[in-house]
Amino acid sequence: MLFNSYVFILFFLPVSLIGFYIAGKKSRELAILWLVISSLFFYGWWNPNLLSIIISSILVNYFISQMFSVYKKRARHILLVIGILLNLATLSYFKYANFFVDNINQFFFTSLYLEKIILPLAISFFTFQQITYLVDTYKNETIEHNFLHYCLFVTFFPQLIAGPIVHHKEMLTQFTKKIFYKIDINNISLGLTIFSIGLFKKVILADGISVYSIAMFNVAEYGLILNTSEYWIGAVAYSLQLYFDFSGYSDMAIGLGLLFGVRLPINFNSPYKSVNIIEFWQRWHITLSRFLKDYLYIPLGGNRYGKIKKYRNLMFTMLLGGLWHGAGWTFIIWGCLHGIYLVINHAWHFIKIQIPFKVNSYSKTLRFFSMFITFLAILVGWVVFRSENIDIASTILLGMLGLIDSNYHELFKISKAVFGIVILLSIVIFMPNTQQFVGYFQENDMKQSQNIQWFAAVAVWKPNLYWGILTGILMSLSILFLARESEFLYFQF
Amino acid sequence: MINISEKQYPILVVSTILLIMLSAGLINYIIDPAHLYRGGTYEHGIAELLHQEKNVANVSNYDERLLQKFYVESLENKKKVLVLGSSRSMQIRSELFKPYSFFNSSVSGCSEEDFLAIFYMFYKKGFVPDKVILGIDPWVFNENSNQTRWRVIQQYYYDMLSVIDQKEKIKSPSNLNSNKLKQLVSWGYLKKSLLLLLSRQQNKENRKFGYYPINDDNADVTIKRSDGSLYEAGYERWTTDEVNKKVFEFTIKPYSLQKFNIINMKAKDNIEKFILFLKNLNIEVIIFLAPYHPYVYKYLVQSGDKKIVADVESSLRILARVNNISIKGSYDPSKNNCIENEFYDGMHPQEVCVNRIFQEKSDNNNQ
Repeated sequence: MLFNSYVFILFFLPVSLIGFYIAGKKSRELAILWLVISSLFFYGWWNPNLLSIIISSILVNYFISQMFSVYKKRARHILLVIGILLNLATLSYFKYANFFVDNINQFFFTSLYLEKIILPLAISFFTFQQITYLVDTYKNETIEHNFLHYCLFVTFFPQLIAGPIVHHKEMLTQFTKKIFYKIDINNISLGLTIFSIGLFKKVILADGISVYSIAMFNVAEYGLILNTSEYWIGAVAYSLQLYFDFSGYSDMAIGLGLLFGVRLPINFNSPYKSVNIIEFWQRWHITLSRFLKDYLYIPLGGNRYGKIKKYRNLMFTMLLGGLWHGAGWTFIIWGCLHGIYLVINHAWHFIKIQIPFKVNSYSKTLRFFSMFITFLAILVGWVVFRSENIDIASTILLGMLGLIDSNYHELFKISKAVFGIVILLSIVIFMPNTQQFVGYFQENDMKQSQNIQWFAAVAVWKPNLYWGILTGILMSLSILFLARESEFLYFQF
Repeated sequence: MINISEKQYPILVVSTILLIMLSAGLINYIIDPAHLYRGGTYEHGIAELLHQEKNVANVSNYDERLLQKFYVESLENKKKVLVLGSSRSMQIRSELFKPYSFFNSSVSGCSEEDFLAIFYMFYKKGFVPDKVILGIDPWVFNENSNQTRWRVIQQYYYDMLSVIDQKEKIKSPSNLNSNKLKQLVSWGYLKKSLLLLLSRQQNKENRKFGYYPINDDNADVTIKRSDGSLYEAGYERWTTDEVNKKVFEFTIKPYSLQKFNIINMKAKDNIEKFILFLKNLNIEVIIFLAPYHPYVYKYLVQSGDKKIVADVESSLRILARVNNISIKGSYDPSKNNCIENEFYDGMHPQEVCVNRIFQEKSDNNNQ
């Protein structure tokens, strides 16, 4: 089920919400049970057959985590290894088996056959969440939780399909709080507002600009050559589509969480305002970066064994991060590309300290230039990321550099496309983001709230007439545009 | 700024949404640019004029399936030649089959269900034609073609199925027609409603927003001809550049061919049974394969990933050979020498190409 669908907005959400609060009046456990059933219904709407996968994954992981308390050191370690391997094997089978067989056939001229395996929705997300739980339970960093709470931690529908990849520490503790089951009008109001903003971003902005990116990439897939400006417009349009798509989804997830009294972590924080790639990864898909850092980069050694090993670890982490996004060479190359960017960025920071003169990093011009360069680097990455294969990516990149002749023009109206891009880029660069608009910050993120003090005085969210009507208009416009339902880009990962 | 209490905020948001949605729904329902909520009054009127052997000009946004239903309901004599197919078959005209009575019952986006349902209308009435031309498009066998318009006449489909299978009548599942409900709160429909309202204001004088009978069979508006074929004014007005653009757009978004990886065996089976049924009624069956634009065909079949279009054609040729029926045309335009400027866009051949296909003496079943 899509958040941007009639069935979700008009049927599923009201029913699950009302049911949750009615059940909450009877008992907490009943409310949680209701929410788990609703979430499984939400998941199974797409393909009920795949419910068995998520349910067995939950059962196996919970069982193993409970076994840690029964066994001692060595057996616990073996259990952990088995648990992680089971998770990775399931993920690998569904996500990478076809890719693996295809490549074996291609490189070794064999003719192995494997039927097309359907990728269960959200498997990458719920696998990672459960690995964190397993590892932390092994380290005795979790307190004992009941099975129902664990089920909700994995299946909670606002974050199930495309993140944020929540950590048990930030979720399970909330389920035990008394206020979780009680109607909190402030949470409902804020949730409704954030959800409406997210829906607007997805339905109007992301889907609106997608016509240019879809046109350009599809044409490139058919092997046709465009002119330089069309390549640029298509690539920038895709960057903006992905931005508003993912940002919209993240807002909707937070908004939905609040409707049920749950605070989900911020996953998206104006990433195109980043002045370097390190900052970009602190702002884009924040919870994935956190997972990769805590459960891959640091266990690999992090920055503890010198520069070379640090760079190796960075490369390896990003390569796997790329592969996490999809089974394909383009994703691997995208991951490597970002690994290289990060290595260069870290190396530059190191060199900067060594040079005798100081660069004024706070100069507005330099910041803007850095932002521009960073965006260009990200843009190149997105072209590879979105392309069907490496050949197409190369053609587009060469086309953007003006290195191939074009023989077709007017794929779309350039002026209209540029107008749309300028508007969206201005929103991305000059406007505050949703959490700044509505004052939704993490407890430790005071820096963000201070950054927008100028704005707070002008238009920050309050439950007043102006915001009420604006929220209603945003939601209505989005519903009017819902007829062109489209999937979220991050669903495929 | 007017402050409201915390409890009032969600109520205000929901009220604003309801107000806007109700207004949009009301505007769409009242203006109804595609005649979705008028119970077929518009289509009924067109059918009446067609029965009077009149061409109908300025037709737009109507339900083609409902038109077929109303047309057949008041039909008084059988038609010797009947065409069933999609918009790609709408250029087949009565001149090709003179002196026999003829009607082209093609509907846009024709699916397997439409073939059966529309034929059943004639069959039920007892007006079984002598010759049926089936314009079969590749998407008929695509499970993901998203063609659901046949739902409007779904009971006819289920009735035809029960006749073919000699089973008890199947009751069609309830048809809430969610599309109609969706259109009530759709921005696209609201935009059309408002534009229509505006054009009505501007054309108050000559009120030319409705259809009207016309003697000519081409004009600057779309004409539904009395033989059921269509003259699309938009097509005729397109310049070569515009046609090229349409062709190009087709390669980007091939109509109803998305996610087409395997031939839908249920549809194939039903088509085969339908053809056998027609043959048992002593009806001469001709399969018409409307060509695609040469550029489109090349990119879809030769260099693209839609080779399945060629597989569909091969499969239909085998079906025709086994059942001894003839095939006219081919999805491959080169087979009938249909060149680029004989197309309106990527998928609609012009009359000149269609006429050539039907005027060729031998069928090309063995190509």
